[in-house]
Amino acid sequence: MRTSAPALAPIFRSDEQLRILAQLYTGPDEELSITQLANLADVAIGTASRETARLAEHGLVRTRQVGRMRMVSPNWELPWARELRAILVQTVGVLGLLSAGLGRVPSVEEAWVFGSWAARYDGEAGPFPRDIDLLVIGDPDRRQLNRALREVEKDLRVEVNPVVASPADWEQPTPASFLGQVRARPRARVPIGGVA
Amino acid sequence: MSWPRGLARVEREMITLGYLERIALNPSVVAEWINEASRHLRSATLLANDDPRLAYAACHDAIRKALTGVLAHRGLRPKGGEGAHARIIEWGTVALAADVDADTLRRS
Repeated sequence: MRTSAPALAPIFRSDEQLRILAQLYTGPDEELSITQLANLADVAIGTASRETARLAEHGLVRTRQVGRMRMVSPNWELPWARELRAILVQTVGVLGLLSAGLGRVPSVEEAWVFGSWAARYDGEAGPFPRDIDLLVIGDPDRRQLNRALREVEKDLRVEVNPVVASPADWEQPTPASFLGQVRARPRARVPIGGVA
Repeated sequence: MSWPRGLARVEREMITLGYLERIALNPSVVAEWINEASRHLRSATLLANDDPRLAYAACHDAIRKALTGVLAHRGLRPKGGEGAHARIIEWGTVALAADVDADTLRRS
């Protein structure tokens, strides 16, 4: 069983509940069966079933009966659904997992997610992106970087495409250059070296 | 195709919960389920215009039997009794996670 983001432990009821919410609010799936949710969140089926019922009772998730199966989805009608998603994404979701992965790679100074994922995160409408564009600032060993990202990909279930740039190029990009365009579009900072 | 990560763990748990049980792998049993699923699909095609509801039911049975065949290929079968069909579909949502959603599998 995975354990995640100790800093969040006091806020959420349990690590299991945290991972269940993270799957629903930060993953690519709109709706999941209880068994599927249990698998993705790495919790027991019984736990997924009980936690889902509890979360549904308080309006944090929605459930729908399909024949004898119960399907679960996030409740975007919740007034603070976007804020909940932001907390989950930065801790146990995309940004949190990238932060943990990149934290193990020396000489990474900064990292940003850009492209369609960042645009969605910024509020632009559209489907969940099938890959994540990642800009890494620093001088990491490419093999170490790729190995760390492969691990992150397994948990995220989407491809991560890294681009590495030097701090000097990132500080002073010409507007027409690739880095200039990244700076001009929505981007989300991956926390490096701090508290995840 | 490759199996999704975690499938074996889910199967172990479904066995513990009494939803699935282990069986000896028997290729002819697997083939029979898949053949039966194919027959249902052919029937659905024949019925589609005249009796779409029955054609839909045939598709549903085809999916369930195909999944039962795949389960048998993994040395598993659903335990009988109430909810056995739903267990097969539950297992299917994990085994074929990216390719199938519950609405596709639902009998209307």
